Amino acid sequence: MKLEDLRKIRERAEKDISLRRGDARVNVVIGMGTSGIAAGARNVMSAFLDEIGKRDLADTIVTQTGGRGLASSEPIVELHIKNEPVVVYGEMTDDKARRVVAEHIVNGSPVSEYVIEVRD
Amino acid sequence: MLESIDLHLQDLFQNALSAGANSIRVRLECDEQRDQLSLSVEDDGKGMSAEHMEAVRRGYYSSKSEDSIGLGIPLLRFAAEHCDGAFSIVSEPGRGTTVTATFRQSHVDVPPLGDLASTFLSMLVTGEARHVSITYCCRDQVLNLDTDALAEWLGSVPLSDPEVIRFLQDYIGERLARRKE
Repeated sequence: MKLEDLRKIRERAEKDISLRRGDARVNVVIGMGTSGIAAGARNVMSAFLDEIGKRDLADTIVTQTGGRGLASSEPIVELHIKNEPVVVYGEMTDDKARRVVAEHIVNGSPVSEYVIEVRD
Repeated sequence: MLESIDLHLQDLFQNALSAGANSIRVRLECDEQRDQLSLSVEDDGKGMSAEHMEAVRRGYYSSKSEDSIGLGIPLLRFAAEHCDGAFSIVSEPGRGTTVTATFRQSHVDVPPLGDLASTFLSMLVTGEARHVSITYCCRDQVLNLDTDALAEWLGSVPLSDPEVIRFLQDYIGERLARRKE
């Protein structure tokens, strides 16, 4: 496997650039302060990235942020979807992350059991 | 709290992001001859004053902001010093911060490397437009990745593209799979 292979991705992507351009529709913001990492936030982030890759979710990005002041509910994930309230998920795990991808990001219905806050 | 090297790196990386860095260099190397494991994270973020840095180093620092910047620093320092290693933090306001830690590799309490593949992937693809460089060399495994170099191959395709994520998972996985003797 070589980095040159990235050029093939570029050639394919540039053909359907209209699909990939523009701001992401979904931003998954993961709390990666020290206590978040200690609670497993890195594995949660990996699960989101893995699902984005597998499901080919070109409109979704993952970003990280420092602590969120809710240490008892970590790992914390905020789902920012364009024109929708921000949904905050707490006590996330690898499996819960994959479920949030399938049900909320792909199908549009938040996984209410894991929601700890909704804000405009 | 942070029980493996990958999580320490992840923590230092988040500190660099919180410091507003545009460029972050992550290095992890094993030197068998010197029996040393060393890691460093260097950023060009806002840096720290001498007082702030001393407070962070000692673990007395508690920010009133929502960020828990620096909480992992004393954990890393204690781990390194416990393993006959050393810890240093060099910072200048407006110029950036470099954190370095070394461990005696054969020390019985040296933290495991952990899931480096996941950590390196996340650093590359969640950094948005920042420059991120990763240098890793341990146990016959070598990985050098730089987002500027990747961008040359990718043109306008972002590193967060799903196909790029799949490629990097495989690429990093291949290089970090332990080589058979």
